[in-house]
Amino acid sequence: MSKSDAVTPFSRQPLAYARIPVLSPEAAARFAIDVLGLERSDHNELAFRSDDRCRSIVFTDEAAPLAIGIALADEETLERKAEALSSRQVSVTELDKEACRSRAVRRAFSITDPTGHSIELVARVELSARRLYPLRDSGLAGFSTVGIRSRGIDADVRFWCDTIDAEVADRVGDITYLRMDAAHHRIALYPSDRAGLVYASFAVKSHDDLMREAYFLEERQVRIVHGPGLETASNRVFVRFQGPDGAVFAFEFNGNEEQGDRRPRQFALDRYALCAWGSSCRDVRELAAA
Amino acid sequence: MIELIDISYVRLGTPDLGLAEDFATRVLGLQVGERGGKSVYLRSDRRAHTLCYYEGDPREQTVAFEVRDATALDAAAGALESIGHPVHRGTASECAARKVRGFIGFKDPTGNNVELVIRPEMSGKRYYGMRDAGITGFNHVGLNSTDPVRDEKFWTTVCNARVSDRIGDIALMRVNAIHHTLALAPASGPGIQHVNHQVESNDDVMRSFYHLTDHQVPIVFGPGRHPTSGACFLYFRGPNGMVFEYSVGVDEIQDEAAHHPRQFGFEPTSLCMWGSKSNFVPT
Repeated sequence: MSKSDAVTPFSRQPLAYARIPVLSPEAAARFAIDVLGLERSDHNELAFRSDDRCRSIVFTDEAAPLAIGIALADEETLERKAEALSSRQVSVTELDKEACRSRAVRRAFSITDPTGHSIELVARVELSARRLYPLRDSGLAGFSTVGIRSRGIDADVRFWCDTIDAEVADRVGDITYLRMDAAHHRIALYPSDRAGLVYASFAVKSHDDLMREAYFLEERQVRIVHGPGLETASNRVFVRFQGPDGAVFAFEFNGNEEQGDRRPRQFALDRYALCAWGSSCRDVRELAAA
Repeated sequence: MIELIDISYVRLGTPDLGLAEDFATRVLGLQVGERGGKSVYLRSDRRAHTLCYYEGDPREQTVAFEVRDATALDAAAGALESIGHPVHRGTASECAARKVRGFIGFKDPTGNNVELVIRPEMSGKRYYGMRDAGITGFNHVGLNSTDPVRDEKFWTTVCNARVSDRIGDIALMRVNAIHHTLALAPASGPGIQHVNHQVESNDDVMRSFYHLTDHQVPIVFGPGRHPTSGACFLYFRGPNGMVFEYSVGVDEIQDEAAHHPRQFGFEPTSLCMWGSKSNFVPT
């Protein structure tokens, strides 16, 4: 049964937010507004929204670990999950009221993946009643996907599948795409020798928007590290580019997304398995085929 | 009025036939239909050929349109002569060299070589390009114009072309439902500005972009999308400076009566709605 019609532990939008540690938060904030086209959602924090939710990304102190918010269906599901994990000797920490406020959620429990990222299981993600209206017309549809590094791919895949209840959608070499809802994947794990974010990706509304963004980035002399391309396994069109401090962000168009109830496919790791159009990535080791 | 029913082929002179064939097959993705002593016939669809390279001056560039029959061809010759355009009636060997049963040659007001043909040959053998470029067929040309307003009048009053849209004074003209078969391009002299082949999908355009970039083929415009025809496109340079285009998703104008040409400003966004910039430097 697929995640789309089964009783799923996840909320309708399972990828809630990413808290991204950065070296120079002010530069990152300017980039989020000018280049990503996000809307600042909190004046005390460097928090930004890209859709109807109050938070998509928050820039945090460089000492903090990367944190990914995963939204569960409701508070009961979250409590049951926390109890179940505790009984399995998984270390679970409930976040306090202030931490929840900062994340714009009502309840949150934090666990750590084998690579060392903080994975925050949350419930009741707050929406903003005010329609998103960012400064520039980027055609933003919302926060969609994160790529994260994995120091031990087998242990991390087991963690996401057994502890979080994600499913393997497809694999390219050892790169593993994880499904949590009807989308092909929300999380992509990339084998690496370190921890951290590979990219945070925002969906745009049309293929035209995606290509306009690609030329906008070029014009603004933002370094495009991969694409425009077509992610082979998911059939998403993407452009990935360098933000401040080496963080990579991406736009993607999911209009012709591969969905399907099927066993995960295994692709050979080559350039065309990562981009069906043939674009290659030289700057980010994890995104390069060779 | 001369009724053009379709575009048929392009003939290009080249000093290096081997190089031209190599580009046309390995890079562009056409298929050799036939090799003559001093010419090569290239296929892109069901027709026996849509592009012919022959040993000659690369400034010799000819575009051909099909007319209905011999009567229409004779009438066209008469009409052109009556307004002072000298007409050359193709000989049997010239017809054979073009794989047609009859043709006339003349120059448009800019001095472009134009041929009107009857019964261009089809081929029963399926087109299968040298590389998987997704080509579905030869589609249109951009034609140099030293006076786009004058030339629009020629193509729309002496011939049956209809203006689909204009960018500044540049007319995009159709002879059938396809948004444009003939696009005028301001230039200082005659010549074919670009040769278009349609491909199956936007993915083909993008795959070719990376394939051609890998092979150091100069990309002169795109990947982009024309706001006029709606087509996604890629322009790149071939032998002797000729520019070729792949595109997909050209609008069709089915309701002749209801269509009113739109006017776009003469500016980059009228050529690409995504923001790519043209680097069309004539050579």
